[in-house]
Amino acid sequence: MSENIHEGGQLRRMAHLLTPRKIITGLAVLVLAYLFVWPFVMLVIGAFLTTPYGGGEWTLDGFRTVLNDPRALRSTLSSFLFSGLVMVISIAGGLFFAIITSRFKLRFGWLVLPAMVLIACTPRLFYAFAWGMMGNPGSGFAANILRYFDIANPAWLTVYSWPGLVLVSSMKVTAVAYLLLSGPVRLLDRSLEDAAVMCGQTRLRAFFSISLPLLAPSLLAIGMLLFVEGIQVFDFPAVLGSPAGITTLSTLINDFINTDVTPKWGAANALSLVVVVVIALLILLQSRLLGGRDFATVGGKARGADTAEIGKFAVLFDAIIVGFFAVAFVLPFLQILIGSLQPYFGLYTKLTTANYVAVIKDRDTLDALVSSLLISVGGGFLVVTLSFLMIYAMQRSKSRPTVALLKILSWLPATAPGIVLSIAFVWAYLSTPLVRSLYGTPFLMLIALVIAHVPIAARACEGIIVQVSTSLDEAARVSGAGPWRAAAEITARLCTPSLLGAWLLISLAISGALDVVMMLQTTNTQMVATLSYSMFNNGDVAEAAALYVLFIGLLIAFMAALIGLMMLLRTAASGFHWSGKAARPLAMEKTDV
Amino acid sequence: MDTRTATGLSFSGIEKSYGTQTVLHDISFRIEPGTFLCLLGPSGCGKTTLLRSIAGLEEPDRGTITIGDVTVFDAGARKMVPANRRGLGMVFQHYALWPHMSVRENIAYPLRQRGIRAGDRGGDVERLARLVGLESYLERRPNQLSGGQQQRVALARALAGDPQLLLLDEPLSNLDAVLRHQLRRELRALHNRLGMTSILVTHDQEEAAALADVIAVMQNGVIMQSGSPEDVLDRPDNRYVAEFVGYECFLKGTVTGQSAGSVSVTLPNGATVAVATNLAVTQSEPVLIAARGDQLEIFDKAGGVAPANAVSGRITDRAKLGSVMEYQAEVSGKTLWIRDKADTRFRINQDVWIRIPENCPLLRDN
Repeated sequence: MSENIHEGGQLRRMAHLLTPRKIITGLAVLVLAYLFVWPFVMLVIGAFLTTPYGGGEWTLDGFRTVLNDPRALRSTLSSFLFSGLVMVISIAGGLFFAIITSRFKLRFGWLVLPAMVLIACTPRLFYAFAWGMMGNPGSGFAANILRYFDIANPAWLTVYSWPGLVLVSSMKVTAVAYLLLSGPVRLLDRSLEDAAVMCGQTRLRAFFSISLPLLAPSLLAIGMLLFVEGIQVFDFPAVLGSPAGITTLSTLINDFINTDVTPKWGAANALSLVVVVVIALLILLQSRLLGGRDFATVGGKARGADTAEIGKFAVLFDAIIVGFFAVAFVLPFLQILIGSLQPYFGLYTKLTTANYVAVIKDRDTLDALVSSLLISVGGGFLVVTLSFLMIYAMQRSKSRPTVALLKILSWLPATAPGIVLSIAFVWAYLSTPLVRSLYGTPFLMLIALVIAHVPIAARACEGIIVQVSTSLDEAARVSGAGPWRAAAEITARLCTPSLLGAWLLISLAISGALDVVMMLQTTNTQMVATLSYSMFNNGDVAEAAALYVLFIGLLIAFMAALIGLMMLLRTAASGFHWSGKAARPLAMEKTDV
Repeated sequence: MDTRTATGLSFSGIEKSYGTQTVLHDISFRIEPGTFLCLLGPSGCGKTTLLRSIAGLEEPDRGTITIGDVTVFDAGARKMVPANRRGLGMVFQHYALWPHMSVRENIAYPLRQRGIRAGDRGGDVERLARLVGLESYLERRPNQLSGGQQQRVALARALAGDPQLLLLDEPLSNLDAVLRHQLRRELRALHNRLGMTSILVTHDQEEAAALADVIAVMQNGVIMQSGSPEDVLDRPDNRYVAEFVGYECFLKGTVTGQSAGSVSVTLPNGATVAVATNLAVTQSEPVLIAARGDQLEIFDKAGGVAPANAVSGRITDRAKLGSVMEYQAEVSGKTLWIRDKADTRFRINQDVWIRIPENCPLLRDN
């Protein structure tokens, strides 16, 4: 469409530029930019202002406060130490489970995958509460078992400590690491190891000298991912670390605003900015580290690997599997369930439903329950839909700026910890005239939670959409369907089963996202996450447990009913059942560390 | 290396099942030192499982395997020498080169396992690389090499450990035809030069014939026939082996006469042909005469006198396959496919004589 064909001059050219299609595209870009980019712009601006929400003077006070605060250095070291320890333990644990299940005949090998999925999908805050109760030095399972045997609870046996924080986090992250590693481990070409054995190497040493180096790129990539997650995580350090005086970067940013005598918005913004830069550098470093490596397997075809009998070791490995499942999932789950039925936390002799009755009768908790349910379910739907559209447009679009923009947008929120996003959202929304009036309504929380969860949903959608060949879509276009119709009737339709799974998982993640809404909550608008967190901190542990158990139960029941209904409607309407492969729901659990 | 002592190999009563599926049925065999054995069979016949059992990568359920005078596997005595202590060399089907190591590191690996110091390994690696013509590629990564070069690296690595016995799992099947022929010749030359014992698994009868001293044809986990390439290719024992080594035409008949080294077979249409055989048959026994398409000859019936050992037939179809013409002919109710150089000598529906050469193999029909 070159210029010289149009001789109509300026006006015609203007009309040509402003086709409805271009106007819609322009508006979409503006809306996306406001939702994704503006909060980051405001985060930067806010770091250099004296007072929050605009109107202040330019200053470097925020940075000065951070530099002069001894907690800054301590929390940085704590964050790196915590994240590093959790990463190493979890990678080792995940790798161990991935290897024993792919290599050996075990009686309980089948248990590992469902157990890891359950542990990985449990909302972090819920998991932190459960362990906070179980490892409570006075009232938890652990202390009570010792008491039963008349053993005094030793002072070190508490979950509110460095070892407690690291071990609990590691259990959860081990499940995530396993889910991310089991694919690469299963795909290892076993004949490469066989070749080393034929050269005189023992099987064990062949594994370490051949297979492990081949796994190195995967281990590095997953390790970096988990490390970045560890820097960002808020719930575990907030629930288990803060009572023991452990402060990480995420909890310090929260402390600046919510705990310190006067809220230090400038300092919070300044520290947030530093954290975002560090994380962006880590992500860049990761892509650089992986850039030059090409361990593409030569020859390719992996031999169908068979599992080996290993005699007495099988008993040991089986015991480890069952033990891990019991300690990392069954016991904490039982603890929070029983804890929610106690008149007050720690009284095991008498169980009651009074906490549940109180939750339902109390106006505030009931409101939080209802709005959290709606936000989790509706937000999950919005996140998956938005991410699907973004990734679909990214993979099908031929315009390079569009692809680049969408790619950046789908990654941008991942550079900021939830607590930082929370601050950025407050600044962004309060700086916008019309949106400002929505502050204090659940609506802003919904938007914030949607934006915050786009990166994980986008990664999941990438895996899902890739499985539908572009040619299916093109066939619809050739048959006369417009682009939207082709997207809806072919690609989206074929992706539906996987997208439903993604919806459920994202809804669970949203339900446990404490950090993102931390700054957006007001006394009148509470989510279950924020409300139960303050109840837990104020000592209403049994009631907090009841609230959260009820919420998770309702959420799962609600989602199950919804998904079941949709499956039923679709099957009835189309008369056939599309058995789509469950497309990598694993990728999305990565931020649920 | 040229002073290596080759080793013999024997296995007896080898059985192996995966779940309910038996892949090796009571296999016994023995080869002399210096032999090149080809295990020949279609995919799924158990040949690779047998090779991997010899290597020690699979553990059979029953039987014994002896390499040289060492029993490396004895199910009864619960003895299983692990693969890394059997001192064998192996070339894997997809080469199994380690992508994170250079060609030099790949070849040096077995030397390292044998405790040869880093400083002393260089010479050996260079010599092995020269042996397979790769001395200028030592610093490359495997994925920077072509298929043929990868194959040579895999071979060099398998030889680096100075193995008494070399195992090759379909080593040539991923290469194009020209390269395959070239490497096949090189492989046989290496075997002769290094004087070792080799076992190669293949589904290609031509490859087996070109390489082997002994061919063992396998089907469904059983060795159907073994012997020299001439034995197996020219004197198949049964119809399965005959078909697998390229016989396409089978004529049913009964034995009607015998003399020294020759048997007369009468076909259902009454024609009688004589074939040379050592097979001990009885009068009236049902038999099959097997023939390759290019062994049979067609003669014009209008020419008058029937040629010796010929049967009457009719051309039913023909197809030009490059430089040869393939005729389809009906003989005594059976369809034969005959390849003839001469282009268009015979027409469809023409009555012809088809001469059966005396050296066509005779099989029992059961």
